[in-house]
Amino acid sequence: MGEFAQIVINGLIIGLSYVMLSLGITLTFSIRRVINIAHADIYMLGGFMAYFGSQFGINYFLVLMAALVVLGCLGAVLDTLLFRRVRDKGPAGPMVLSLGLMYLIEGVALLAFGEKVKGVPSVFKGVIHIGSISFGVERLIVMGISLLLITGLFLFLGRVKWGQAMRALAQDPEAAYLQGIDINRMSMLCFALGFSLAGAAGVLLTPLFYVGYAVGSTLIFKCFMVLVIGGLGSVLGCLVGGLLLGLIEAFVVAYVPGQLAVLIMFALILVILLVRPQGLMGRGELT
Amino acid sequence: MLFEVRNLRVHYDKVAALKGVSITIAERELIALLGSNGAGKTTLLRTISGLKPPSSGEIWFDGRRVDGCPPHEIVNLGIAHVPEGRRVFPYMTVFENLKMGTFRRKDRQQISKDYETVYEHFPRLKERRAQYAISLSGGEQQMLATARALMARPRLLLMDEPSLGLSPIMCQEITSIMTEIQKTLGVSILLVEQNAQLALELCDRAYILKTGKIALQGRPQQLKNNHEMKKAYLGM
Repeated sequence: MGEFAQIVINGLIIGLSYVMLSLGITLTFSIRRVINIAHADIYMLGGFMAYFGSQFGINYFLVLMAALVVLGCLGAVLDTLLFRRVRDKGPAGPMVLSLGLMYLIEGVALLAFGEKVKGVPSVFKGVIHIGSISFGVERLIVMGISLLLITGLFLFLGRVKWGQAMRALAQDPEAAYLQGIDINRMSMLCFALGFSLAGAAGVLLTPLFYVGYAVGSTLIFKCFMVLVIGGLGSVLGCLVGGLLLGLIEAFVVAYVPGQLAVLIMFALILVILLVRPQGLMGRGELT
Repeated sequence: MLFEVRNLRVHYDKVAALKGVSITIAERELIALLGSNGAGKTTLLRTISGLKPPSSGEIWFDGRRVDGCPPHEIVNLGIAHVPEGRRVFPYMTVFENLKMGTFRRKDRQQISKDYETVYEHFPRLKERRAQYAISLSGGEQQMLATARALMARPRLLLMDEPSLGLSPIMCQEITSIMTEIQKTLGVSILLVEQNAQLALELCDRAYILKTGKIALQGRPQQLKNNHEMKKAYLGM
């Protein structure tokens, strides 16, 4: 029973990080029809911020705040300088741009941090016992903060004027312009939010796992899997898809040896796609 | 003069959609813009609301030159556009759609009052305020699109073919709403319509657009008596 609970927690934690990453891609796709392949590298940048934070003894929450703010600003800057210029030039332009960005960021990371992965020591030690099951405090905190951030975003999209404007923009851009919604500002906000979440995921998860220059490349595939399972453009789909993928991965990896695990995951995804090709919640609009 | 278009030219690539169009709209006037498909009516509205920049000419609103301004500035200045085909936000509720109309406004107290006013004029929207817009009928969506534009507190309302695809009963409702908007709320309206009969009943003056140019203009009575008009647009 205890083992089962551990697997579920692991699955949820990984799943929540997938959700945080995929939300960013979903947002920028819905508004600019951009699939940002470099997105998962922002996770890596967050992870390296956590690494440096621990090296210099900076408070954990301070590092988290810094990642949210700094990487959010980076998102706004990249949108203004790069992605805005390839707007309206078809889907290929932004994708190629983001691919180049990915290589650039990973190249710089390789030069700066070397090729070995780095671990970050846990800040929260200790274990909580509920009944006969024990939960690591650190894992619970990571889960709690992830849920907080994701809930925050959902509330923003659902209740706050600018968040609702983002949904409007995704559903009918011209009608949105006619209400006075400014595409440039919205796009910047979108990128900022997406990058913030990705960076936060990096800070939260790196102490549990590791960070290296290449983590982005592996993660981006998982992101695409989430988007495909959940349906492109649906934030609820991100949530469902991310959690599902995380749980599946946790269980498969726990009970099935190495390479077979990856195979089974892909097989499961194939099944989902065969049954529902648009993804579980797919509608193509930000809903 | 509240609103004036002077010698407007608009091109799509090399093709001229508007070839020197001039119109005026005074306060509280309902002006009809008529003409067959492809005459340039929608293009004119889109250029006014900032979706399409003009090639040359001027647009003046409230003493200010506004041609070439981006859509969000046009809304700020007091011109709202109800586009062709309703274009409500499908997966947002009626209330959320209305809220989007207030996007550029900052006067919170007045906005709350305006929701009430809108619900009074559009009781069916009040009933359905928590429903997704996509679940509304065509007529209700047209009302929603119109109400959404009104939530921006415009002084000039651009309406693009509001009667399209509506049943006769709904047409009547839209017509009476437009009259109310003009007389009670004091908002000027530029109405693009294919249904010339309907438009001539409502308007103070009309312009007939033909392949990008104004072919005729005048008061409804004058136009109804005009022979060319009768043949071409009123099917008499």
